[in-house]
Amino acid sequence: MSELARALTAELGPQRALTTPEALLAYECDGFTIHRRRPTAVALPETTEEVQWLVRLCNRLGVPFVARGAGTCLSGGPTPTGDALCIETARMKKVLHVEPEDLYAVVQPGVVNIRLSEHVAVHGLHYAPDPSSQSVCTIGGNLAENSGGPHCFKYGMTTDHVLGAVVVLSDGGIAHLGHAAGPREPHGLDLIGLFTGSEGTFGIATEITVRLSRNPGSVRTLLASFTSVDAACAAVGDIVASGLTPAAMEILDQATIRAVEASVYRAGYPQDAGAVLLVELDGLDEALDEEAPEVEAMFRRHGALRVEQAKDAAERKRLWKGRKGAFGAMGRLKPDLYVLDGVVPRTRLVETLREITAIGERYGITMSNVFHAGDGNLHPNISFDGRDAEERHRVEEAGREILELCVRMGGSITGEHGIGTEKLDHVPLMFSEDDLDVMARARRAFDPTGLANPGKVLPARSSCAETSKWPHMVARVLAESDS
Amino acid sequence: MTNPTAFDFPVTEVTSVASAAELVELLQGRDPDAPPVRICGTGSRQREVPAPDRPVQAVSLRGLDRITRLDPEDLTCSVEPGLLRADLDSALAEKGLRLVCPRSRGTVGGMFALGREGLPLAPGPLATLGARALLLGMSAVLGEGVAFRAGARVVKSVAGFDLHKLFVGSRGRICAATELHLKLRPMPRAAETFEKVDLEREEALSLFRALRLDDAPPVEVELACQDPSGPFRVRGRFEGAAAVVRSRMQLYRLDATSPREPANPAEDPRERLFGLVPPSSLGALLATLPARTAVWCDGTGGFALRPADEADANAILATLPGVGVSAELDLTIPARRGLGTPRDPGAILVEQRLFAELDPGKVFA
Ligand SMILES: Cc1cc2nc3c(=O)[nH]c(=O)nc-3n(C[C@H](O)[C@H](O)[C@H](O)COP(=O)(O)OP(=O)(O)OC[C@H]3O[C@@H](n4cnc5c(N)ncnc54)[C@H](O)[C@@H]3O)c2cc1C
Repeated sequence: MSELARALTAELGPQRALTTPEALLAYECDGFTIHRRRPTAVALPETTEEVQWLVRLCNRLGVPFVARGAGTCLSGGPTPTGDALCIETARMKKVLHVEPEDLYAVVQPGVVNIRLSEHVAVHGLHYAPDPSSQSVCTIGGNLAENSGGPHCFKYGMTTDHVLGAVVVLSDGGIAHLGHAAGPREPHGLDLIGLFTGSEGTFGIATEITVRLSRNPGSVRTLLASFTSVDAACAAVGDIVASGLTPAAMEILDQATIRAVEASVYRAGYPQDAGAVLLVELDGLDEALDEEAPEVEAMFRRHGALRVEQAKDAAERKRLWKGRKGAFGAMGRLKPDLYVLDGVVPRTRLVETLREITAIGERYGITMSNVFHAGDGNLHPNISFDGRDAEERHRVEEAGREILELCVRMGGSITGEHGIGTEKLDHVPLMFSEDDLDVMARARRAFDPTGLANPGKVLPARSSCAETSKWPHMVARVLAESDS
Repeated sequence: MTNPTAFDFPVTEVTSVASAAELVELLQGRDPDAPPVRICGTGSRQREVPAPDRPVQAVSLRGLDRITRLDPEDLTCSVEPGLLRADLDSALAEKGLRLVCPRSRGTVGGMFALGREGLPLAPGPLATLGARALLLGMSAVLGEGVAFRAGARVVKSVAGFDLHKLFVGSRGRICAATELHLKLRPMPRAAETFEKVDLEREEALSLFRALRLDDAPPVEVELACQDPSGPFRVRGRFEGAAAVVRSRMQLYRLDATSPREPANPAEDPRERLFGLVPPSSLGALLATLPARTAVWCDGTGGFALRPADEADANAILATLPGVGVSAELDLTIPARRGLGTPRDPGAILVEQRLFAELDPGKVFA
């Protein structure tokens, strides 16, 4: 038994210190199954003090640590890149404090996203960021990834809903970031703003203060089917131009519709449609009574084949079921699923999607698209068999071309899933060596020991200096994008 | 132009730059023994940030005043930091767009660097999240003259670390922004400003609370008084669907009034305490304040106090932590500017490390 394993077992007991190969198997990857690596050990702390003890132990032994929530990350964030202690927050599930008057809650990081909304529902409140994985993923993981979700077109990302956090830094120190009344104290820097989205590389959040939102008075959920994705995108353009701000605007293409309809997530979407567009409006009835018919008219103007409006909560749930289960449905087609996550300016969605289809055909891969249309945030899904090395290679190459395309369109290589290890080689498409050097310096302020989730977000210095492993591609994309 | 009389601390010279490249050149060519640099726009809000402890060279970015990109359909734009906020608002209004945060004086860069408008206005949807949520990315220059980018131009990106968040409220101490990428919204379909005056304390607090917690809260709401015993004023603004704006005005029996120009707090000779208070603690805060303290408070925690004199300000500062309030003194003499409630030592340590990493030469003051 290693010194790490001995110390962990002595302090936490065998239930909360996992060290056997069988127990560690479950931690060898997250939702990005292409990258796998088992941690050296797994610890399940329950308090800030225990996390601090673990981080100090890592310091003493010179072992890196990786925080892990539910492991639903799609970019390899909680998967170690070398020997490392995995600190899992599964036992830090308490909602510590709710302040309905001031619209905030303080939670431990392992609280599951949807449980928080359920917990505060008695006050007529909810937690707004709603990743499709919300029934499983944790607030700690959301904070670290700056997660989004279908409703962030109107309500913003996680960063817009986090007020503060208690953080154990990589040297074992503790910092209280933010304030219950606002993320930045008047005489301080926006440290919680910088921490959010740092993918576990700035330390471990052990208590998180989040903003709560009032439940909307009313909700109208509409589903329209179109002959093509182009028509659905055009309808979204009209809605935005009209000055309406729907809570969500989601598009599923034909391949996704068919996969959903053939799965347990069946939602009654028309299978002959080229695309469906799900639009949710929320607010007071007096506004929605005007806005819903307006949206419906815009659907019709763009040749909607069928328009449905949910009549009650059960129907709303049904319409959303297909969207929320889209990744799951696609995952059933082949043993593995690669969920991509690029962003383009919304007005360039149509041309981008055309090129993505062409890329898919060129590489002979099974692909479908489901996306947050209001934000231009695309999720091309590639179903594949990871045991087939040749197919895996084609999948990775197609993914690379798609992200390259997003940057060329003036967009981003990730809208909500993060860089992790998955997109390390793509980072230089967006950022120069100087940009990355400044980011590395900012990181050192939080992670002076370099032990916090190493090998994530920023490419290793050497690959950075070589401008990643596709120097020609990088140079071309940077030249072509006008960013 | 930067107004040279805006500074109430020693300035060796005011240098203007007209491009990011000029700024890089200036910083790279700087003599390490030269006075530190104070970045400024028009200079109109210099009294809202702590004064430098040594004479400084003021570097004005007011000449970088272009809108470099405006994509109305994508609801984004990019601007240089020296652009006046008022000029940006006019250009956006022509396209039926706006920046969803309260109007402010001075330049757009100054507005973000100061971060005062970054305080959220009212809970709920994005329309009310404040300036911090509107900055998508930036280009900037470190004190050593290294230019870098962070964030993106699109409405959503989580690539890299959000250094642009660090710029908000950094008061020119971390970097000088040279281009800002902003998120826009269409003009609201309807809007109405309201004001109720001469309210008793309890009446004002209960109206303020009801508005804050309404299902369709106003996008701005403030409670103000010249003395904590009253009378009080509640002012705000509803935006959105015409039917909702109408129904809320009726529900609370509010009279419409006209929107006002952004105030210039520097015109008041008294010093100010600026900070954060959880709204439910507002009653407790009011109870601790000495007579003749003027109070202004927004819907989600931002507040400003104008104590009658320095002695009162010191007394208030000592009591604030007890009511969960974080605050700092501004608009006072240079020696007192920046005095504030105690902060978490861990957060201070991280900040010190950030300054040491990002401005090791202590170029920015
Ligand atoms: C089916 C499916 C649908 C999804 N839909 C969405 C979506 O709509 N929007 C979206 O944004 N994402 C989505 N995701 C991605 C994923 O769910 C999110 O990134 C989520 O926030 C990860 O949370 P987690 O608890 O699983 O974290 P993990 O996967 O365990 O960890 C994620 C990262 O957070 C770090 N971390 C975890 N806890 C802490 C902590 N306490 N302190 C510091 N760092 C920590 C880890 O080190 C890691 O880098 C989806 C994933 C799946 C599988």
